[in-house]
Amino acid sequence: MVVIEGLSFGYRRSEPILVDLSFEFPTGTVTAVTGPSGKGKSTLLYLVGLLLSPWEGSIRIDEVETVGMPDRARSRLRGERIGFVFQDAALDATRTVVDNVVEGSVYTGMSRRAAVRRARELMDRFGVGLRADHRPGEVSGGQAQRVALCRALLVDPDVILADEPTGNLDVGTAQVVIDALREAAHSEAKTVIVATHDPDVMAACDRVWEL
Amino acid sequence: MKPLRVLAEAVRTAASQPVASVVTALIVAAVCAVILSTTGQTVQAERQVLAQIDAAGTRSIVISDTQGSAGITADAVDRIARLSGVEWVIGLGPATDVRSAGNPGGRPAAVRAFHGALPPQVQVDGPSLQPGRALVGPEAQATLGLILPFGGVVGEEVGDMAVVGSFEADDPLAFLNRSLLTVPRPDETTLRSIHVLTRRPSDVAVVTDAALAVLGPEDPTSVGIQTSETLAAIRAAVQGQLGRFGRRLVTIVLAVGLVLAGLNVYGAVTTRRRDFGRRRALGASRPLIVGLVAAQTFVVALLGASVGTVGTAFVLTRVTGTPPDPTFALAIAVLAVLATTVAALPPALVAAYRDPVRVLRIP
Ligand SMILES: Nc1ncnc2c1ncn2[C@@H]1O[C@H](COP(=O)(O)OP(=O)(O)OP(=O)(O)O)[C@@H](O)[C@H]1O
Ligand SMILES: [Mg+2]
Repeated sequence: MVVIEGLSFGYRRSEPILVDLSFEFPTGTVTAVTGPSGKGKSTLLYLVGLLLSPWEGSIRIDEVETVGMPDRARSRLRGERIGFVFQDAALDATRTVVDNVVEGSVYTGMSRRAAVRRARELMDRFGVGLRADHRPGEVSGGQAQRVALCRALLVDPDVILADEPTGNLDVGTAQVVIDALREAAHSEAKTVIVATHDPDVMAACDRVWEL
Repeated sequence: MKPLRVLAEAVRTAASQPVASVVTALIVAAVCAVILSTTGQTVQAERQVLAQIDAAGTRSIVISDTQGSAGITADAVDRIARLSGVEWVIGLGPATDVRSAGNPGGRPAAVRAFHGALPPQVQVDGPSLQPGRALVGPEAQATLGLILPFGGVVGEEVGDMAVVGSFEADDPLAFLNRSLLTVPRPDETTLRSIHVLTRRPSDVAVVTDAALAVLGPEDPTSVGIQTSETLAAIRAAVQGQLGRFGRRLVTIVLAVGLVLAGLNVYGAVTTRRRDFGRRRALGASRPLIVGLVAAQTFVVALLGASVGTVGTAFVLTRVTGTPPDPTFALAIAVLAVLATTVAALPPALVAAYRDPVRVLRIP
């Protein structure tokens, strides 16, 4: 469960973007965060993902206050309990797809062997298994998005943050990704937060929060 | 965070940035090559100059009885040998002429009795000596006209003497090569000269004073002394000068290499900003990012230093015939690797402290 309370943030002092927000993202649900472009959906995910620190307010992950934590502890939470799917896939173009998927294991101490085994499972599940040894420049945008999803699921995180995860996907593949996120929330008891404009995605989510 | 996984990741990253890695490796290789082929050669030259000065006798003292009336006796050799700072001491009796028994009309050579043990500068090829038997030096052998270092010699004072082998002496005793050496009869205790080698050039003055004190000559005006304090001073000057020159050059070359390598790493870090944003998002802490950049640079620098050192050593050996001093080469390689790794720290900190969100937004 992720709880935000009285959250305020802006990139510049003069320009607050999120003001006094409070919300609960319960475990086992998929929540869609929506709103017009530039409103701060990605920013909210970065705050919950501990890549930004709020001006004010609190962000609790399973009752643990994360605001004010030292970098080491925040990095550890990020690596072990939070999975990110970025608005663009943010893959390392110089490394193979499977190397991209297992990258997080370097920071969390998971063995490479175990990481590669799990990566192959996930990639087969999302239909990119055959692309394991390709470079990101050799896969389609939708495949790259799915590779990013595999990377986010590698360490079996408690919280999944997905920023426009279906932005580059056709309806069928988008459905695969949405189903995966729903399954992660419902049968693996994860907290899933999706930033999206896509009405189909919103319809598939348990709750919708309009910023 | 497991150091080995981080190291493996550093190696993979280095391999995925071949241009930056090769440039860093080349800079380190060049630093090693330049230092080895300039200062390395200076160090070599300094060793040679010092060796020559030492061979000329920086550490030697010669005490001689110039008139034959000083009354220096054989027991002085033992007493000087016990002085601290003395490496070895040998006493020589008066020289007397001998001629080859097979060629009594030929040219004479001198035979001298020595007191004390022969130092390592005198290489002997023959059995142990006793009175009436002698070893012949290479020049004396030629003078006497002996084809082999065996045979008989005769002299007015020594009578018949058997040559039983040969010796060859190096500096500072090379003058002995013109003579024959024998051991004294028990009644022969008078010495004409005492030759001392000290352990260090700086011991010469002290040992000279102490040796004169234990000598107690009957006629001090007859005692002549040759030491090499001037040579010792020259030696100290040479050592200091070359050393200072070499150190300055090493410092400059290392500094230039450090700046170049640092700039190169900085360039590599800024062109791949997104990488560090992604790593941070996937759970890398700031110290881990710093460690990763440092390890990557370290691995590449190690490669460059190995190639540079081995390559230069090979070329120098080919060109000059002598390989560079291994300790010096290793020290320079280690220094270059460490300096380059240190140079990577500022860019590593830049990478670790950059706002990950900002760099991730740039497509
Ligand atoms: N580093 C920054 N400095 C200043 N303003 C920024 C910075 N990064 C983002 N912004 C601004 O913050 C606002 C929120 O951006 P954010 O990316 O969160 O929007 P969003 O809701 O995700 O939009 P979209 O739907 O287009 O992805 C935008 O107006 C953006 O211009
Ligand atoms: Mg956005």
